[in-house]
Amino acid sequence: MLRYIIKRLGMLVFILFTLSLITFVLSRVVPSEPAKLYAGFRAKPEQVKIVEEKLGLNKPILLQYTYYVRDLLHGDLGISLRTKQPVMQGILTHAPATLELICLAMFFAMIFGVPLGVISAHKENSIIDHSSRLFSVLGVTMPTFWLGLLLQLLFCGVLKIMPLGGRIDTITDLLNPIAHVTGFYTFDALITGNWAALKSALIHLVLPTITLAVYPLGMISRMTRATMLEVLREDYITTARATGFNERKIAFTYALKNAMAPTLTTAGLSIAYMLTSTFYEELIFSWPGLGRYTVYGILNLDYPVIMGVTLLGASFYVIVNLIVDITLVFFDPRIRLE
Amino acid sequence: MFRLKYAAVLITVLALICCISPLNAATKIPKNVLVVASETTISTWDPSVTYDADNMYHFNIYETLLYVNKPGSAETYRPGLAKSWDVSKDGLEWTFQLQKGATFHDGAKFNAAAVKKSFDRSMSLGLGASYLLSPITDIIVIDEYTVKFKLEFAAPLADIISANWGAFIISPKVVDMGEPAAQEWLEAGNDGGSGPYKLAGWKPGEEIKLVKFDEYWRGWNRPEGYLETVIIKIVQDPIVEKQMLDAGAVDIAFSVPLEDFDSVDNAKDTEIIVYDSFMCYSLFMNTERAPLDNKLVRQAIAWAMPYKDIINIGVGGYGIQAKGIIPPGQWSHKKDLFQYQQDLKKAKELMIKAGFPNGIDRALEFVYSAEDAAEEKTAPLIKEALAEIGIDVQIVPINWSQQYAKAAGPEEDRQDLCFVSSWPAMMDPYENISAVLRSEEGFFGFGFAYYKNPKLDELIDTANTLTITDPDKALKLYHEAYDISVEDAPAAWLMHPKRIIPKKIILKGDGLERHPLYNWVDFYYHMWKEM
Repeated sequence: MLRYIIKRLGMLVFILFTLSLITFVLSRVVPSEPAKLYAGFRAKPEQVKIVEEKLGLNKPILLQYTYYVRDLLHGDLGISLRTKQPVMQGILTHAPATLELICLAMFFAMIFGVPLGVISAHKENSIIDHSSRLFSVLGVTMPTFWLGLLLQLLFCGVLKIMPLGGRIDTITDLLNPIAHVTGFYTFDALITGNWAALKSALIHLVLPTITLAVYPLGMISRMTRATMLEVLREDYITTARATGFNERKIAFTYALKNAMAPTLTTAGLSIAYMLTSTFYEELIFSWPGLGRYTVYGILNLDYPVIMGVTLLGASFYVIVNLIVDITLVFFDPRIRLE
Repeated sequence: MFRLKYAAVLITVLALICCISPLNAATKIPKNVLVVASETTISTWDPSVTYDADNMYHFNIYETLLYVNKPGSAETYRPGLAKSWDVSKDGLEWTFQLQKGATFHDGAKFNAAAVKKSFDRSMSLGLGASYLLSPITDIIVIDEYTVKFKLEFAAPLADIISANWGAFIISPKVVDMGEPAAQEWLEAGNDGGSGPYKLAGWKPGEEIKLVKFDEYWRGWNRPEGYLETVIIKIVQDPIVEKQMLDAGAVDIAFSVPLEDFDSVDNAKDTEIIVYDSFMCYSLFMNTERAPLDNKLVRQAIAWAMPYKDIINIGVGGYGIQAKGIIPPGQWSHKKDLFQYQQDLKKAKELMIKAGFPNGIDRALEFVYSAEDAAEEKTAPLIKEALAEIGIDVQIVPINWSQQYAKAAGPEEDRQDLCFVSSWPAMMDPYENISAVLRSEEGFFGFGFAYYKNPKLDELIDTANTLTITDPDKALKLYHEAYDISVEDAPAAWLMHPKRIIPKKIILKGDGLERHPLYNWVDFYYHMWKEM
C-alpha cells in the first residue's frame, strides 16, 4: 500500500506542476493590470513602475514562472494584489470556515444519505422508495445558490428564526470571543467551554450546512440504493435470510458493508463539488471562507489568489480521493491497491 | 451499529432543536457598541499607502494635521493634529503649530519630529497618494511643536493635507522599524495611529473591530457618551445588509438597494439620511477612435443624454445633474457653466453636420461596471437615447477591474464609451480634472476619454501654481478649462449622486457627514446612541 500511496502523491506533484503552468499562462494571457491593481487605480505611471519592479512583472515570462515555481516549493503562493497579504496566509485564514462547513455537510449527507439509501433499497418500489428517489433527484438537480436564497428568504426573511449570515452573532462574539485553536468555531467553542458562542456558531451553521449537504445527500442516497439493490440479490444474502437473520441486521451489517465502496467513492467526488459550491454559498450567507476569498480574487483579477486556490483545490481533491481509496480497502479486503 | 446510527441522528436533531429554541434573533447591540455593515474590504493597513475606499477605517485610527469642512461652513478647514497654521506670502512655506498632549496608540509622543518622519516615509515609499505630496521639498522641525513645510511651488498644501491620503500621521516607533519591516508590521493588522480608535481585531474578509483609545487627546467627555467599540461586518450583498438592518443586527448599512430606501425610512426604528456628495457619474468617449474623435459627434451624444431619467431611474431621484466634472461645493465649481439638456433634435442636427445623416454604421462598445447598481439601471436609458440619433450601442457590463484593464490595454481592445463614477481626491480641483482630462501618454487615473488638449493642460497646470498666491487668476484659468471640457465634450458629465445612509434612528451625531470629499468616510468619535 505504501508504494501505491507514494505513486499517487507523485501523480499529485505532476498534476500541480501542470496546473501551475496552465494557470500561470492564462493569468498572463487574460487582459489585466496587476501592477495597477496593486498600486491603486489612481497611481501615477512611475508608481506603477515601482510596483512592477517589486512584483517582478517587468521580467521575462519564463523567468517569472521560474521564480513562481521556486517560491511554490517553499510554500509561498505569492502576494495578493488586492489585499497585499500573502496568499498562503489568506488561504489558511479562510480555509477553516469552509472546511467546517464541508465537514458538517458531508457528515449530515452520510448519516442521512446512507440510511435513506438502505431503506429505499430494502423497500424497493414503495412510497418511501419513490419519495427518497424524488428527493435525491431534486437534491442533485437543484442549484445550490438558488436553494440557499430560498432557505434564507423563508427562514430569515419570513419566519425570522434563523440568522442571515456570518459564522456567529456579532455581539455574542464580542462578549464571548472564541479562542482560536483550530479555526473551527464549533470545535474551538466546545473545547474551551464557551457555550454561548457554541450555540450561536451552531445556529449560524444550520442553513449553510443544509444548502451544501443537499447535493451529496442526494448522490449518496442514490448510489447507496443502487448498490444495495445489487448486493441484496446476492446468494449469501439469501442464505442469511434462510438462516434466520432479521432484515435489519442483514441490511446494515452484511449488505451495507459490501455496498459501501461506490458510496464512498461518490462521497469523495462530492467533496470536490462542495468545494466549488461554496463559491456561491459563501456569498449568499456572508460566510468568510475560501469560496468568498476566491470569488473576490476572481472579480478583481487577483491572479496570485486564483492560482493559489486552484493549486490548493487540486491538491485537496487528489488527497481526499486518495483517502477514500485507502478507506475502501478496509471495507472490501478484496481490493488491493497497486 | 444500527442503534448507534439512530442515536447519532436523534442527538443531532435534538441539538438542532435546542439551538433553534428560543427563536433566534440577533443579540441586542449595546449602547456603546456600533455595528456597521459595509462592503469595503481592506486593501492595505498602511496609511502611507492606502488610496482606496478602505481609508474609511484609517480615518478613525489615524489623524492628519487638519481636516476640510463641509461646503458652506464658516471655515474651510478645521484643526486636526495642527491647531493653527501660517502661509508665507509667496505660498512656498507653510508653518504648522501642533497640538500638545497627543500620543500615539503605542505610547509614542506626537510632536514635530513625528510629523516629519511620517511625511518623509510617505514620500520615500512613493506609493498610494504620495504623488499628491510631490510639491513638498523639505520639512523642517522648528521646535517640538512647530513644523515648517517648504514647497517647490505655491501648491495648496492645506488641501493636500486635508485630503488625508498620504498625510496620515503615523507613530515614529513604526517608522523607525524601517522598510519593509514597518509595512509588514502594519499589513499584519497592527496600527500606529493617534486617532480615537485602535485596531483591536481583524478577521480578513469578515470583520474589523475598533476599540476606543482611552488616552485620546480630545478626551471622552461628551455627556451623551461615545461609541466605545465599533465592529464593521464585511457584507457584499446589499439585500443582506438591508435585512441585517431590519433585524437589528447592525446600526448602519451602507449599501441598501435603492428600492428599499422608502421602507427603511418608513420603518419605526430606522431612517435614511441624505446629503450631497462629490461623486460624479460620467459617460467617457474614446476621443482617439472614430467617430468619437469628431467633436460634433461627441456634442451630439451630450445633447442626447436623458439627464432627468438618469437621475430618477439611476439613483431614484437622489442626485443633481452635473455641470462639468467639478461638483458644487468644491472650490472653483462654475455655477454658470454651460450644461447640456436632452435635445434629440439638436443632437440629430449635429450628427448630420458631422457627416452621419444616417447614423453610425457600427455598434459602439459601451462598457460599465457590473457592480454598480446605478450604472446598471442607467445603461439601457443611454442605449435607447443614442439609438434615437442613429448610434447603435452594444452594452458590455464587466466588473471594475476588467473595465480598468480594458481601458488601459492595447488601443484596439479599448472601449468606445465608458460609464465611470469618479470623485476628487482633495478639495483643490487640479487632481480631479487632471486625473480625468490631462494629456498623458498611455492611460492614467480616470483618463477613459484618452483626451489630449495642450491648451487645457496649460490652463490647469498654470492654475495649479497660482491657487494660493493669486486665487482669482487661478479661478479664471480653471473656468476657462471647464468651458473647454464642456465644449469639447470628451465626456457627457451626467450627475452627482447624493449620499444616502440607512441607519438606526437612535444613532445620533454628525459623524456620518463630516467628510465632504469621501462619501464613505465616517467619524465614529462624533456619534452616539440615544437609548
